[in-house]
Amino acid sequence: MKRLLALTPYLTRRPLWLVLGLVCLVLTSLLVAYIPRVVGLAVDVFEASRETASIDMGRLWRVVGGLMALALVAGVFRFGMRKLLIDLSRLAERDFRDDLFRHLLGLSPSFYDRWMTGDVVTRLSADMDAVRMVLGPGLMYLVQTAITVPTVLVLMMTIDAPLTLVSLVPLIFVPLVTWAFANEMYHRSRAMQDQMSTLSTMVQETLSGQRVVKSFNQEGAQQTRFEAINEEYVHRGLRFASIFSAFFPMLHAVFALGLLITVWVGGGRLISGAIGYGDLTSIFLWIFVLYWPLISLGWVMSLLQRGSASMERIQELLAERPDVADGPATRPAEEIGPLRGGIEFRGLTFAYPGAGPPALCGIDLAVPAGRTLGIVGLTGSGKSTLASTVARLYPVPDGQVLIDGHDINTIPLRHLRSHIGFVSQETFLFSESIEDNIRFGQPEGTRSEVEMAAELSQLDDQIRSFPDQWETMLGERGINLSGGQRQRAAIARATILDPAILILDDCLSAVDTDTEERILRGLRGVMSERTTLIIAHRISTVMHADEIIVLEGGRITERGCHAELVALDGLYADLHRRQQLEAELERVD
Amino acid sequence: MARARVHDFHEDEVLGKAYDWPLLKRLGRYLIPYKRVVYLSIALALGLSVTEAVGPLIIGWIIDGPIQGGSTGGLALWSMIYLAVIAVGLVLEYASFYLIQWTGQMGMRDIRHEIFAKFQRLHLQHFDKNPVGRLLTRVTSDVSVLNELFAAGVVALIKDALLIVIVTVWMLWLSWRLTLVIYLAVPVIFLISWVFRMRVREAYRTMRARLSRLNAFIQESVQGMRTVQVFNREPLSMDQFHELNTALCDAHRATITNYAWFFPAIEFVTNLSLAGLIVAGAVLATGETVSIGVLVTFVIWLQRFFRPIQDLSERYNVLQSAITSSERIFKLLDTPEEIPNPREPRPLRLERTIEFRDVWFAYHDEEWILRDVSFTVERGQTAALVGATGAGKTTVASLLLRLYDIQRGQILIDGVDIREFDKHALRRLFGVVPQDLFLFHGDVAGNIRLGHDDVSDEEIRRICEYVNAWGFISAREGGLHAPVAERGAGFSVGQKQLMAFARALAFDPQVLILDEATSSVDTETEQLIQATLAKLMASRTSVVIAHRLSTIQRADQILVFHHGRLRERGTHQELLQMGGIYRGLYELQFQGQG
Repeated sequence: MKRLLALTPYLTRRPLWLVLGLVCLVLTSLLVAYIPRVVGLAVDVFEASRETASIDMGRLWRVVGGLMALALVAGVFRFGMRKLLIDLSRLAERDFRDDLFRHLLGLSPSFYDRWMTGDVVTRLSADMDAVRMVLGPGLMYLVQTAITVPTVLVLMMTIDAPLTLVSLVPLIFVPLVTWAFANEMYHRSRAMQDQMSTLSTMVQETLSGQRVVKSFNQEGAQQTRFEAINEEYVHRGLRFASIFSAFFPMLHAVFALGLLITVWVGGGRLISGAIGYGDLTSIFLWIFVLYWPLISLGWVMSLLQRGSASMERIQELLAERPDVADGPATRPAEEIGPLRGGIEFRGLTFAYPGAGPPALCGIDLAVPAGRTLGIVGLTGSGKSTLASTVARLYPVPDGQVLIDGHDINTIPLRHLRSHIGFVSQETFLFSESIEDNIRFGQPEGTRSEVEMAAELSQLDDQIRSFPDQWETMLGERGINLSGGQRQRAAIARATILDPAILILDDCLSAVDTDTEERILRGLRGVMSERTTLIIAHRISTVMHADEIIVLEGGRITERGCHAELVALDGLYADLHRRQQLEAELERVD
Repeated sequence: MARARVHDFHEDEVLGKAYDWPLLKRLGRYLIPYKRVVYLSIALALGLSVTEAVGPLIIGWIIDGPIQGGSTGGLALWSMIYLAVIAVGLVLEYASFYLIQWTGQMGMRDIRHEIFAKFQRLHLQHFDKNPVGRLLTRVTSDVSVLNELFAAGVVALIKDALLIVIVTVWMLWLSWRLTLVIYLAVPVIFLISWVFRMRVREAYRTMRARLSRLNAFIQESVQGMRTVQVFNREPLSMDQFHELNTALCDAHRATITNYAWFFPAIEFVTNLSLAGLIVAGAVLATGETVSIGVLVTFVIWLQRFFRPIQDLSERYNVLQSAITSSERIFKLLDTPEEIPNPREPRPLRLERTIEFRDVWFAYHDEEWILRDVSFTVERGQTAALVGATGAGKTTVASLLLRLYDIQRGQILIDGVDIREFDKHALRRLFGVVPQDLFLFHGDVAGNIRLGHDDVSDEEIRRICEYVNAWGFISAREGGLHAPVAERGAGFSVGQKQLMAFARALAFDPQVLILDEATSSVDTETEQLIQATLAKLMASRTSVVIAHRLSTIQRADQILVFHHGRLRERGTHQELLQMGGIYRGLYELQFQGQG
């Protein structure tokens, strides 16, 4: 429970709201607690008019007027209470979630390698929700109960202490019953949800594997499997129903028992003349008033339990620290000045955080500003790793990667990255318009700049052929680009930055060779002014580079220009031969 | 300037009419098997409404009778009767509630069964067109909405309606004037709750749309975080997030306002009626028409009477969503299945040949994947399909199984069109070894035997030994019963290929359709695969999408596909000498291999 105290600052951020809301809450509780007394007085008027067979209209109107006034004022305060306190909890939730997302933005790629997306998202959504329930309704009902119950008790006691004590006996069980049931219902409904997700996984698997299912005549077997899972879901559903169906009847019964005792014992007290009809009515109605706060007490107890568990999960996330960040060694950006893009690797040996053998070993290489380096190698040879060290996506040892002669660890991260255009192997586009995707890193980019970048990557004609052209939405709610189109959009996204260093990580693999040729020709004009790293499987992509290296197992095994490497007759020359042949074959028709 | 757009997508939440008889009747059919239970729970609910109405009445009697008469004995007697009513009410409420939940679960189970069975009969093309996620919601959330209709809707509605009738009649009998006072508030309560529900529903839909937008943004940001960071987008992403987060917060706050006025308003009207009761009661009491017990009875009824009226609009909403969901479900159930089975299928057994005769096929319109393809495979022979990626080889395999129907030409087995056979019998003829084995969640044995529970573990072990898969399977913890994670993570490509052989053989098919793995496999496994292939193909008819030189050299005929056409055919030596496409492919793929 102590964990939840970490949330206090979010509530006290708007002290006036909090205080006003609490004032409303206290007043509502007090006023509502008093209403039964007024009704009791009214019953006395009623009783008097029965006995005397005449009506004291003045007294009647005073009492009824008082009742109306009380009800009206209580209603206004109740409105204020809900509006202020629940609003406050929603705002606190928003602020907390903002802070959490800000924290996520600061975490390094290695964090995202380790954590599952779904897990992170759950903590920002479902767990956040559980915490919010504590902040809002939880807190509100808790305070309300804390005020209402003692107030009502005091009022009841002043009327008839023995009767009060007796009629409260069953009500003591209300919070306990609620708490026990709420917890059990929660667990059983979780069990249902778990089974529902098993069921969806199974259905999803069957749907994606339809080809196999049909080819192997598996329809019947899958149906049997499904029915078993479905049956288990029904079983769990009924387990939930069996307790859920009991919950309200139990509460109703306990409550009715309270009423019964009041009538029975109270009736006796009335016969003996200890209390009047008005008093009995008041006590009777107070039982109604106590009903909800007592239920909510039990409910809040289970909210607190869940909220505290969720808070723990959120704090796990908050405890994560980035492994790439500016530190004491970082020098001010002004001191470093604009980067020209000279890259030097000095005996770079690199292993991914969390052990494993080094992915790069003793890389010694200098790429002068404005030159192009081609990188070739088999899958897993370290090509992408080498490129990612230049953008400092992972922690790099001091003094092994230098940009314009500055140790990369001394350059402010944002300053470094603002000079890099990165096109990664897996193209990630966002569910926004094509235009916004292209100017992703350059939000103030104009339409003509976007068009130029798209032209360079040979995507402009296709974009113009879409009905919504540049405003075409991508992703879930828009269209899906083909692999090649995605890669070209990513190239446009990087070139629009006009970066000093351009990194192209195998980003033409899904583009046909003719288009590739055109893109490269266009890029070459741009490349001549900037440092470029091109990673590729296709020789045709890198053959025009100033220098080409071949990586094998994290080491440089061949280096030189195209002609030199072909002459060397190693891995590079072998790849080159095969690809030429493939191209020839494709031309046959 | 990049804009974070706050879209309010309602596309999947369009609400239809609240009543649609044919649809409701069709829905009602799912209850027919459980109609006795439904009747029972309705009967119990009726009993429940009687006990609920009687409770306050007894309290009134107690006040007017024993208390006024000063009889402690009568007081105890009536209290015991009240206690009995409470107990009966408890049992009735529990039983009726549970039974209706039970019926709901059973009905939902049957609908889910039916939807799932329908999925399995749908044409493959249906899955190419509809994202799996959307189909999935038919079986999950759409059915759950229907459940609400059963669980919270129908029976509760009947119970509430009856409660109102009983209480009204009783109230009229006790004092029609006081009844009138209560009824004055009914339209007001109804109006307040109606406005409230409609607004809340609107706000709720906005909220849901914004919530899913926010969650989608979080998901996307987490997945694309590397891109965000490389492009220095953190500040802007933060702004976008804040905007979406605030939009969601605002939607919540709009809902709060609705709740904030609704509860006080209802409470105020209730208190107003209370005041009215007292005034009217006091005035009437002078004429002795209303006793104090009657007044108390009315006061207690008042606390309960407005509840069902408040709930009416809620039930209307439930009904409306249920109609929309059932419309979607029935639309799916009514989708035509497209690969029709013949009425009187011919018996099937491969005796002589499999033949493609002038086959043309396209997945869409006239984008031909296969153009005028003809070839014949004799029983016991091996045919190797060769060609570059996208040449149409895999399509040939799908067509043999009749996963798709061709547009022109014929596919024949022993001279009979495959459309004249039962499609399941046809598929049983073939054992398919795909390039990338699709593994189901479960264990190794289950993945090999698939649905054939009659294949014993012992037989599976023999098959695994035969295809050289036993080595790595037995090495796993749990052996045949080692768990298989989603999509078979943890098995190498080569191991999966060997398991695929085992799966195909478990069915002892007459014809083997084999799509060889292209990815490189470690030498040891490669040798195992080679050895297995030799055994498998020696004894049965095989159609192989071939990538291995050894397979091709063993084939009786090689069919070379290029851009959807069958361009060359013959044995390895013949084709090499021809010096055409095959020779080029050979040089590309197999130099230095085999």
